Amino acid sequence: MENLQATKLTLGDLIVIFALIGIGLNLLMGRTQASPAQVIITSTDRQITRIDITEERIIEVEGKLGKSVIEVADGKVRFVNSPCPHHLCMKRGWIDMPGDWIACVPNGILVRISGESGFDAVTP
Amino acid sequence: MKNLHFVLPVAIVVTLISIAFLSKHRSQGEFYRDSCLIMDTVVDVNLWGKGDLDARSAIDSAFVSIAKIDSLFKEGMVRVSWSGREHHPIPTREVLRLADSLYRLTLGAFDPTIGSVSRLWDFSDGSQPPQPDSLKAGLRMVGLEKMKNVPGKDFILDVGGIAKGYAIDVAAEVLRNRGFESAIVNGGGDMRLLGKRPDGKPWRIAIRDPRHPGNLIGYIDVEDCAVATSGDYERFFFYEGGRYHHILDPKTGMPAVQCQSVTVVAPTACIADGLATGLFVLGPRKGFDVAKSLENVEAIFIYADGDSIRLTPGIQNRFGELASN
Amino acid sequence: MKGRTLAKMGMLAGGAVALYVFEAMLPSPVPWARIGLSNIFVIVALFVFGLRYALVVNLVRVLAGNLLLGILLSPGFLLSLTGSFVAIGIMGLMRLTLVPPLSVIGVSCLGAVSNNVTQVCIFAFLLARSLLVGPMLGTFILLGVGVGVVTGFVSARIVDKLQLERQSLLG
Repeated sequence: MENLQATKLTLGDLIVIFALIGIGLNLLMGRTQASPAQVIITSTDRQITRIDITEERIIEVEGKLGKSVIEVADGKVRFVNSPCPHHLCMKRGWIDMPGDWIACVPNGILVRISGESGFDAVTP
Repeated sequence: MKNLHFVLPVAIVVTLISIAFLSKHRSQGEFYRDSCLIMDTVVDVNLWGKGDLDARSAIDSAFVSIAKIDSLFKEGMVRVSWSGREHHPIPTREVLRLADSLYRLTLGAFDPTIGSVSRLWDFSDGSQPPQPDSLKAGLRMVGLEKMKNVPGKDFILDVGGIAKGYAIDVAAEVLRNRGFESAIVNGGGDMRLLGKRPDGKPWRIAIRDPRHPGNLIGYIDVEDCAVATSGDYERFFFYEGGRYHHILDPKTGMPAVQCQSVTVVAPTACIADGLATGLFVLGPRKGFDVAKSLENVEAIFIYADGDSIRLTPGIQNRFGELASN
Repeated sequence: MKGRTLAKMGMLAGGAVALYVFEAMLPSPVPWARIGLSNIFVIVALFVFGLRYALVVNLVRVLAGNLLLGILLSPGFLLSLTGSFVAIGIMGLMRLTLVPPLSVIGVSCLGAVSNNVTQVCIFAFLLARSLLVGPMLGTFILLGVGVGVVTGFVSARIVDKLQLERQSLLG
């Protein structure tokens, strides 16, 4: 007969509900700060290097024409040097927006910052 | 117990109705993305679909179709005479046909024959503008009318931008023919947008700040169209205090000076790219009138001073400004 | 009585499949995420017939549901399968052992939350290969509580009805 009262909220129910809400809110509020974005460097042979954007590093990546030098600092990333003719990649300067990228097309190297910018695309 | 016997058939009927409804109303599917260094830029394909294999193979065929078209143009240039154009492969002919219409739409401000001048320019660091003599000689070979008047003579056509747009359009059609309704083919900021976002909202496309490419000046909400931007900040060099960029006025052979950037919304990426170049050359006054007169075309002009921005009426309520930082 | 139980089981499973398929058509912010209303039938099976029956109803629900949706063996299917079995395990335990007695509503909450937590963890660690689960986990726990209360309430009403019926039949 005791199960006939299934609809009735018990003290146990309330404890469970509030405990779960507490845990949920805590997780939601306490760590809304996302983990740092990553710099994802892809070279022609599809070799992928990942670096946290918060690091301070200068790395060399081997491409089709030679070594490209990429610098990560202060949450930004840029091409310091690249063996391409027009240096469009270097002219692009620093990028820091999630989802943004710089490519050195002649050397076959793509540098992308992980994450979503909140836009479906950016022009140009 | 009686009503239980009633519930069982009802449950079955509900299941069947659900299935029937579902077959018509397929859910939005999963997101796939891949990028590829091609056509001197990064081409991104984003699509929403069901089935991993389907989506992956569709993205691959999109890249292949782009590569095929890209191989027809060497550094965006093609050497051809007006009468000899019929001997070229279909994509080349198609691009030349579109170049001709763009020439007329932009009152000659987009002129593919600028190729014989643009090849004189070198936009690497420390370079100089071409010598006036060679510029003058190059300009003699600029003008689509001249090309038509001397049908046997070879001209150098600069169709890099619109060929890229054309390849993007072809790739987007490949995806559409495979049944994908929500997709973006984005070739370094020139893009074709298929349908709407899978959640039914329009695509939100951000526009870069021409002088601070890390910042965005605003965004537009658009659907089932193409977007392209011509900006003076993509290729440029400084020489004796002057800033020289890659969008050349076919009248003078020198960089056009009235805008920092022009973003165009048009039905196809090829048209959008050609119009962006042409409207950039025409400037925010003449160009604005041209853009306004064209159906299904909207444009956003950023003036050379970088402070003023002008939008055609059709895009005004779909534009959102972003505070710069 | 055995035939009747079977008929009720069939009804519960059928209802669960129907709701499961229906849910898949509702718009969802996250792919594969579903509200979880079809759990009502699993909870009813658990409380009226017992753990073994709940497992059967759930298996039928997930297999038939995903078969009908045409996504059998997809990642979404695997998430749903593991999540729901973990949830039933926890609900079965909670129903039997907890010291302050839980009603259907509390058990249902725990079930919905454990289902969500399992799915988020599998999704994050295996499929997305990302460790950024905190906010996502929080969101899904809160959603689980909300959905759990609703499904628990509805389930409780059905359980009451069925129990009453059974009592009257026995008496």
